[in-house]
Amino acid sequence: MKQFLYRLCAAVFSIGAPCGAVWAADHPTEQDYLQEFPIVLSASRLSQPVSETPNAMTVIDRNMIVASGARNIADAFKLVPGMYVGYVNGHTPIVSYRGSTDAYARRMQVLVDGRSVYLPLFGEVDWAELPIDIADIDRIEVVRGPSAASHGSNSVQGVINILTHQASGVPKALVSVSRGDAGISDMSARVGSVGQNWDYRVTLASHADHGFDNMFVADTGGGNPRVTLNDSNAKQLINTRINYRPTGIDSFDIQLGYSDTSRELGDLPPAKTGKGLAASLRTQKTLSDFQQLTWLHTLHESSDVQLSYYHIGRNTKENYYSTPCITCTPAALNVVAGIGYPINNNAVIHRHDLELQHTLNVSPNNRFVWGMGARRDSANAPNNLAYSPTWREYRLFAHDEWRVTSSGLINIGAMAEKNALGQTRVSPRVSYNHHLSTRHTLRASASVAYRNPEMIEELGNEGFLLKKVGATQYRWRDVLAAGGLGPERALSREVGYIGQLDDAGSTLDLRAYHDQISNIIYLDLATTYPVADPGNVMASATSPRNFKSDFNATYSGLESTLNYKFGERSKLTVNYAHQVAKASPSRSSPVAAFNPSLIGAAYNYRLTVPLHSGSLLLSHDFSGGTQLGVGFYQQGKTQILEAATQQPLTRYLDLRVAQRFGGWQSKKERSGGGEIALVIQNALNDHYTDFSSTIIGKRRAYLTATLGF
Amino acid sequence: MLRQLTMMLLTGAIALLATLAQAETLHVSLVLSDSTPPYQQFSIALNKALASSNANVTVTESSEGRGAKADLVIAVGMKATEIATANFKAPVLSVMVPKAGYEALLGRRSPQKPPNAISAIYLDQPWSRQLNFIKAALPKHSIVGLLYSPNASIVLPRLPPGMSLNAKSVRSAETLFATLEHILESSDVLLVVPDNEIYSSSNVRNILLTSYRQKVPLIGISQAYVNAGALCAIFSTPEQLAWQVAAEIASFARSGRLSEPQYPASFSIGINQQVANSLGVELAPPEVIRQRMDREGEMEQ
Repeated sequence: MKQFLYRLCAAVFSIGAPCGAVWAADHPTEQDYLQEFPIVLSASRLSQPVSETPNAMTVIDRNMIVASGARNIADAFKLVPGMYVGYVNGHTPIVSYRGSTDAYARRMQVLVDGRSVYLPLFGEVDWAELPIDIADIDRIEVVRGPSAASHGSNSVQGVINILTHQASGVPKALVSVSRGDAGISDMSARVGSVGQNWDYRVTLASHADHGFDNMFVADTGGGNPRVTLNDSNAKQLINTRINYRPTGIDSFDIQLGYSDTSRELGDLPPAKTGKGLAASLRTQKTLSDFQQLTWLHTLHESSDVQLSYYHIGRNTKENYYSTPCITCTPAALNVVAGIGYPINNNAVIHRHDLELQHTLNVSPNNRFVWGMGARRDSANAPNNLAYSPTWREYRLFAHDEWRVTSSGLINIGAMAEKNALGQTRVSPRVSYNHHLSTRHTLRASASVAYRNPEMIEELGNEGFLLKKVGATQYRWRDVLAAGGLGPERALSREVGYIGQLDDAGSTLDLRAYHDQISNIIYLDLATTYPVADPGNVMASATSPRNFKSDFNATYSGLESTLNYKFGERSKLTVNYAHQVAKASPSRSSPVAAFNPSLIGAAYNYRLTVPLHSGSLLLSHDFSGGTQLGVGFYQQGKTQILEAATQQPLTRYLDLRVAQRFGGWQSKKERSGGGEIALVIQNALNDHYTDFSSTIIGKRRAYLTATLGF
Repeated sequence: MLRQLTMMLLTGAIALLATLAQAETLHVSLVLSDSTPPYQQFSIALNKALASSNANVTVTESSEGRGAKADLVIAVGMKATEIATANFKAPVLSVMVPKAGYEALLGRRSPQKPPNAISAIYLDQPWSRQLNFIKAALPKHSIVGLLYSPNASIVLPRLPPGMSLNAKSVRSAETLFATLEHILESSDVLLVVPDNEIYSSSNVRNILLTSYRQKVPLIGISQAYVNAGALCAIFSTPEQLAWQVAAEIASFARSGRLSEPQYPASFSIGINQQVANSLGVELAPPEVIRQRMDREGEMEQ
């Protein structure tokens, strides 16, 4: 690996070498006026202003991420109205939108520079292993609502679109070091260059902490009543983005990333910490990599074609032992006390995706985008799937943005997809945005989107091999999917208002919505299901759990965001969401009324949204290079689907104070200088309970020093 | 209004040429800096303008001009102006040259040769017109950002009321983007100036992308800027300049003297509606912007 890194850097630096511009003075000539340029802001590079998008959208920019003091990408989403961010443990954040919160949050598409990181095996985003550093994020756009027509399949309840800095975005060298409570130890170094035909940036980073170090869980094994949560984690990553422009009309964007993540899992008391021996204490190792190539070819000033390909590879290794079985049936399966059965929870996932997109300005008032794509997902996870599937999906999409009158705009689009199970669905969307004046806009939209079943839902066979008794190979099973599922369908309707309040650029965004989701796929907790944790063999597994699809839910609510600017130096963001959910067995399920598990699941779904939630972020730049960020977050009672009890009211305050020096004092991050920042999360030490009830929020502080050259 | 007046004046001047048709033939030498389209367009348009006036003018295209007999030399571009002043004795009308470049060239003229009578029709727009345009096109964008290199000779203009200028000098190529980001943070628009150290074709791409990302519109100085992604620009085309030159030839034929150096009389407005839509900027149609500029111009007078 070391050698690989060295070679990569060498290649990149030699590209950067001839980039220094000649700084020769001369008087202007007519060439300054007559010179021709390639089209830079071509049709596909121009984004819609927030007042003209077909869905409600939240933009979290770089300054907001910095001011919030977020150290993990997931934490930034606390600034989206109605979005849930919680932690299963120190290294497993959960981000979900519009309820149905569980450890997977399957109804939201997550893209990093257009690359879908919502992975097919379990249908989850593994935030902790993403090979990107939070400091490389330029902005995050969150589409609040179904957006399959623009963002592809699984964009059911929303889309998170993380946009990292362009290759030209880091033209200097930066080094940053963080140290703090709970073993926080982060380092990052980035370098980049801007040239005539080549731009690049490279980031090397490492992140580590002890997780929720001081948190305790009840001991089930006797002896010590309270133990430390075993959730230390460490990640090393490299990430590079290169932009190459061989001609004025061709631009190649190349992105490569690699991460190596180690996470501690298991929570047995210290008395039984013998790793890998009759204990579920273990280290999960994840190697993750991606390669992405995007070719943008400008046909002429109002038309361009983009061809993109990416591959994501993810290899997880998690080997440990079950607790010893003492009451297995047949009794021959009982194992000698102290040693359980080996569990090899390994998974290899590969995703290849190819997409062609053509954007053209049909007229000054009409922009049309159409394209097609194919995706190939393969997984090898013997402990979780019946076999190693290769899934292929095909999609065709079109979107038109039509300025009907000077004050009215129609967005109309659809995506047709054929999923891996051979099912074809069409997801249409239509919206009308009416500008009451240049500052005030009303929007009404309706859309349909589908979520395809994930591999675990369709082919799940979660468990591990026991031993052979006679001629019979016994296998312990936690989940056994019956298959035959179809996509979940979401129908969303919304009305919204987007207003600019003053000349400074203060804005108000209001939205009321009503979503219906049908054929919700859920894990049917069979009446005699064996155990919740496959790591603990406690009973014979006669009735594993199965995924079913027979209830519907509706979500309605109000969301609002106020961005208020007090002059040049202060900005306040206030978010509030009011949410109500209902769920009921679908009519197509004749046994619905008699299935207590289904009734229970439906009942719980109604509680998965907090009635009230909100956040506030205040940032202020004092003269002399001092910056202050204050974040306050509050979320009402919420039911996490797997949890026995509700997550109570959660409320905490985060603070960030930074002092800039050298050239950064006047905010010029690109010149030589630096910054020292102190972040105090949960500054008031509110002892709130997180996603996992074993986690109690406590104050945590860390210091970051950054130097720019 | 201003445009109509200009057009009337031009047509009047060209009509004058016709009355001169009976008089002695005026020999005009046309020197082009090179044969690329803008110069060719100028040449074609000039011939057309002169032909439509039936003026007794012969135009000879001359690349070197050595020994050519001419009553007046039209030098198109900086290079042509240098050639014309070096190789001709006749008066020179320099056209399609930026004011700063022209003035620098005058200062560099060879002392060995008696100086020609010389004048110019500039390519750049006067500051008052440029600022008037920003005010007419973007009434709510009052802080105009401006980047220039230390060696650029920029005479900062007097500003109309309600407008302020945020000008920053870029010390070196390395600090260009730091200064750019700094200026974008505190400006409503970024106005391009003819400074090839900053607005080189390789820098323009990143300047456009950076200003777009910061949602600060760029005001260009040519149609090429508008096509590349600038929000709008005012500029004079080779054709517009050729008509003005034709009028100046007429005046010269009559008086034997060249007028004082002048800015282009007529100009075009280029706007990029797609960029305006994306930035959420309301931009009036070019005709309306022009009317507003004319009104403002009248009020000033």
